[in-house]
Amino acid sequence: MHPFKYLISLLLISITSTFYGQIDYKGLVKNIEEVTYQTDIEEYLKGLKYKKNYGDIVFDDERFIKYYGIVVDKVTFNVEWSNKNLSLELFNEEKDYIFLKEKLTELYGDAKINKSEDKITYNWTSTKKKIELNIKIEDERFSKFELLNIKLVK
Amino acid sequence: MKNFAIFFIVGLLTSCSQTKLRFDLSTVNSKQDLTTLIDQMVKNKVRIDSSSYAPKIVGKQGIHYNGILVNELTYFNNSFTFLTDSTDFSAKKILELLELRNGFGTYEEEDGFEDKPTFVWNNSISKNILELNLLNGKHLAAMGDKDFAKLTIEFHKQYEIPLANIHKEIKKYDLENLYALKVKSFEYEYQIWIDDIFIGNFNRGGQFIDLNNYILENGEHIIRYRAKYIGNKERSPYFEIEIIEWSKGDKKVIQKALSDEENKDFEFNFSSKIAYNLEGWKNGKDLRKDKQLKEKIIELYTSVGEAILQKDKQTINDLFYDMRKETLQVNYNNDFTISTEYWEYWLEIFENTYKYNVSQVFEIEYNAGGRLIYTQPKDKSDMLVITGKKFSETFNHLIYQPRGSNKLKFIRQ
Repeated sequence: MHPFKYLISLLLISITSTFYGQIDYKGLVKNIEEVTYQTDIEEYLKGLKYKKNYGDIVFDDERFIKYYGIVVDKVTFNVEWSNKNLSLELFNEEKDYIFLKEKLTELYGDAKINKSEDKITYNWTSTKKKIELNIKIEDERFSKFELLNIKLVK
Repeated sequence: MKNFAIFFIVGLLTSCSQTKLRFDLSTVNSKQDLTTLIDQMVKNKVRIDSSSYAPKIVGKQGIHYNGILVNELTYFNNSFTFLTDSTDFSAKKILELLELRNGFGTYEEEDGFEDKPTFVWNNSISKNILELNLLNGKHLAAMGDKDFAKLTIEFHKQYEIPLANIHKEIKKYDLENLYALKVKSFEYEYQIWIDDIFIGNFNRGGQFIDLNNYILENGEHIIRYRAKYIGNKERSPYFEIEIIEWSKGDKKVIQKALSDEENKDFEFNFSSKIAYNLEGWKNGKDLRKDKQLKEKIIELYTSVGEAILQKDKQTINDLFYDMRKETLQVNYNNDFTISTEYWEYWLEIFENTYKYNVSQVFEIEYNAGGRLIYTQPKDKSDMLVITGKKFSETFNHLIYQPRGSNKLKFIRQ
């Protein structure tokens, strides 16, 4: 093959590599803490591929969902009469649990805590949000996330 | 000396690219393309293990997917599968390349033993399944250099007949409203009409009826019902009709009528906001005085039966194309799989049918001022019954006659 053709091939490959960046991945990331009762969820997720399931809107591509900077596995939006509910599934990282507990306490004050042998439930309440965090514990230590539910009030 | 070093490095780079990037799988868009590329590999002495039903090429032999190195390739019939190299962010690159080309795929997180995130893109040419093997981190947001991918591309069969490609003709709109009629009935028998089209005779229980099928354009519509109580008064008589509208994901009741009377003959209006405007039976001929009508109906169903036995694809296309296009349009359905599966259903009928029977004794219902007719057979379960190997199918459709034509046509299922 003529060397000129090699150069053309290399040029084409580098052009293709450059175009990998055409989707603005960073710009598509959704920070769930920004969602309010007034947010139009379908408009909010515009450009991303989400699923509708019996009135719920489910989005589960963890590349694009964060909650106070923590990567979220899946978020389910459900709209009721006067509430909008967000259900978040998180990856079971103890550091995420510690960060989240501290962040939510900093923002909403001390949580109402219910503790049993294998579970801790935290409840934070404000005029616009009710947040419930449920974790499983083993030997007094974090074992996994059970539930992070955010109820947005009208 | 300096020039020699530059030439040496450029020479080394070009020779590397020559050995690494020889066969680009991203250029393969059909079964024929795949065969051509495999032939080129054979000519260029790529080592192929053909000992199993699906030939396999293992190791770096110059095969790549738009510059992303392929470590293992398997191909069979109209599909191929390859594994990328577990270096150089190959999984991330291939995911982003496919997203750039095809948009975001459907993400399927499998809860199975291996739990590999999988993306699927399905278009009229092929189905692309990308399985990601995450070695760097536990989720997609932490994809890194060692993660690798398995991509399977299955090419769909392509059919040239218009009936198999009808999805391309379906128009999409910003406002794709759907309307339905929901009946709650305690112990009534009842009949329902929309715009002078008889929808049916029902007995006792509730019904859910798609109305778009009967709506040709935007505007006012008349719903008429006749209900007669047939219970023994153990429960209070109750009859309710709701018109439901789906608009941009919202579902709401836009009209409602209810009654506890024992006999009720009632009509009410509702207004539809419909983007499409269909020809349907609008310009159909009034068939109420057509003395040849019975013979023409028998002739229409006989032509379907004969076309099936003769495996006459073009005639089936011509008989069903308009009806199929309008029934998909009223639901705004341009999914290519629906059209392909419908045509493959016909291919199966051609393959299996060995006889047909057409009803000779039937009653004709006249709708929409005689422009739209339906037939109720008295001697068969339906107007056309076809029988095949472990298989039977029946047909009975709404029919009209286009103005200026002497032949009947199917228009609704």
